[in-house]
Amino acid sequence: MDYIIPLVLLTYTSIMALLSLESRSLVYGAISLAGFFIGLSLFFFLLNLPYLGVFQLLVYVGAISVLILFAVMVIGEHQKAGEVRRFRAFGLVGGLLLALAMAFAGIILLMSFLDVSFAPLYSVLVYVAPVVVLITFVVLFVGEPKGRSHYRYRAFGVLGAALIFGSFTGVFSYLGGLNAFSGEVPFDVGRLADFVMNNYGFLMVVLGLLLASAAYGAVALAKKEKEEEEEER
Amino acid sequence: MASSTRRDFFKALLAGVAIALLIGVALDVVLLYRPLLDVLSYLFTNPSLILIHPLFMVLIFPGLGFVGIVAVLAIWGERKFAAKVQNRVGPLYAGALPGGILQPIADLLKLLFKEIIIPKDSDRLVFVMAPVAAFLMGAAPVALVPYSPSYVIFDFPLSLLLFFVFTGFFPMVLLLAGWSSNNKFSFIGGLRALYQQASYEIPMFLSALSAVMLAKSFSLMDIAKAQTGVWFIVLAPISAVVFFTAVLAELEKFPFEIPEAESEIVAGWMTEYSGMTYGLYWFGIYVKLVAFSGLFAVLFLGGWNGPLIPAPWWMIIKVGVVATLIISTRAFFPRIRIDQLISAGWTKLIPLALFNILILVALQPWLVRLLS
Repeated sequence: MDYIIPLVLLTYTSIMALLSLESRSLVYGAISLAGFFIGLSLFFFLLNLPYLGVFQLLVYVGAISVLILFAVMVIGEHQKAGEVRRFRAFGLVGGLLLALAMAFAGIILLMSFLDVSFAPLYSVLVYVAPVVVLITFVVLFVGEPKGRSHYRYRAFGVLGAALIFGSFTGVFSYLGGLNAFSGEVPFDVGRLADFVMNNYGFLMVVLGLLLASAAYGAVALAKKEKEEEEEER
Repeated sequence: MASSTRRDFFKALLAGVAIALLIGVALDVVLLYRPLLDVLSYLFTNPSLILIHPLFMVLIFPGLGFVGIVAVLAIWGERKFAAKVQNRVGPLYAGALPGGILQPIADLLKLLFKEIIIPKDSDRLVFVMAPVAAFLMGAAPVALVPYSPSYVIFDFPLSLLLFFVFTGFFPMVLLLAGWSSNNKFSFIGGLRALYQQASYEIPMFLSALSAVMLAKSFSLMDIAKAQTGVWFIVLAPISAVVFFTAVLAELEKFPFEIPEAESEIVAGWMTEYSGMTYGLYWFGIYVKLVAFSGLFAVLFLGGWNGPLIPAPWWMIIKVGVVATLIISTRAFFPRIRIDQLISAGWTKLIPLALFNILILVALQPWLVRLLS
């Protein structure tokens, strides 16, 4: 029964990621992106990495998604809320391919949890999937974007992306199953801080200064613009 | 003809209610089968064990029942207190109890039976889901606040961060609510909620960080345990004040009641909401008030620590005091403008919170001896 939760999560996360790319309404896309980030953070919780999961939620959902939504609403589409169109882009082909990809990813996950060796399958995936995606992108950008064939190419690309996502998730779940699922991982913020500050203290300080100066630079840029506007008046 | 269609409609309605009830009962039986059996067995063997059972905690003491009662009392107290200060009477009589204390219950019943109107040009899905999400985001942090070493619903080593995760979602939900209503007042209210978040969230994190520094843990349980000797409001008073101000802004209480300024933009992001969707927003906000009162009590007022009376009672008293302080601001302060709040947040609250952190860093050797 252990594989049911990762499988459901994987399905949810993939669907959210696809919706964030494919939805016609930018606002729905932003909401789906937030849902995708939530799914990703739940994966971190599943892999016994609560610190990473909480920060994923705090930064990506609490800040970045909100900022994206904010930007979309303030400067983006001048579209009324009621005029949101359905996702016709996908169609039947895309849905079928998506279902296939999901089933494939699920099989990989199942194999990883049942301790079946899937190394040959994995290597095939790793070599095949990028080629599929590469061809798809070439076709997408070279080919004429019109008619139903365009959507078929897109569905092809989506399939490639889902294959990569599924294979990597399967591999990570497998690797995680070796370490994280087996037992209690000691979890202590103080020890984490000791580790980071003792080994990477100087780098942390440099990074912090860099980020702080970036923030101040952004503020200075915004400020200067306003002053110039006043001068122009 | 009309009567038969009406009868059909009622039949369909009854069938729908019955199916929903059946599904609900089935879910409850599946989810609560073991805990209910445990509680029933304790009833005959050792009734005192019921009081620390997780089901009791979720449904009654730190959970739903307690929070609901405090929220209802806070709604009543806010109206009554503001009325007394402004030389009015306030809610006077509703039912048998004196002082109109049942008025929130009457309001709730009224909202339950009112029609939910969904505007024609609104985005229906988001419009209906936003109040539910707002209530969930308001109620989830309640589970993280410890009321005594045993009375906590969800004990987690990063519970303070998780608390901020849940409250950080809230303005996004409000923005979506304002956008989906397709009304200029709602949209302005949602944008104001987001601007407000941008101004108060960083001071809130920074001021909570001083408690984390003193307790050396992100867990609210550890932070409360670290205050057995001295409360953190004594060691970090500036942070406590900054945090309280940020909480007022987070709860949209009075000096910062900017997103739903009723004299400017009707009711802000909830202009288009009616019936129980409106009620869910109100109840969510007051449940969040209880959660934040608990958080303030745990971070700065020593949590459950106190002399004479047992642990959860001290926490209940502190939650009551902090909630009273928060809702009493309605009677005392005017509403400030959004740009005033943003400039106050970025130019005054953030430096103040950083200043207190610097003081704590400077006093570190002395504090280590004091707290050990």
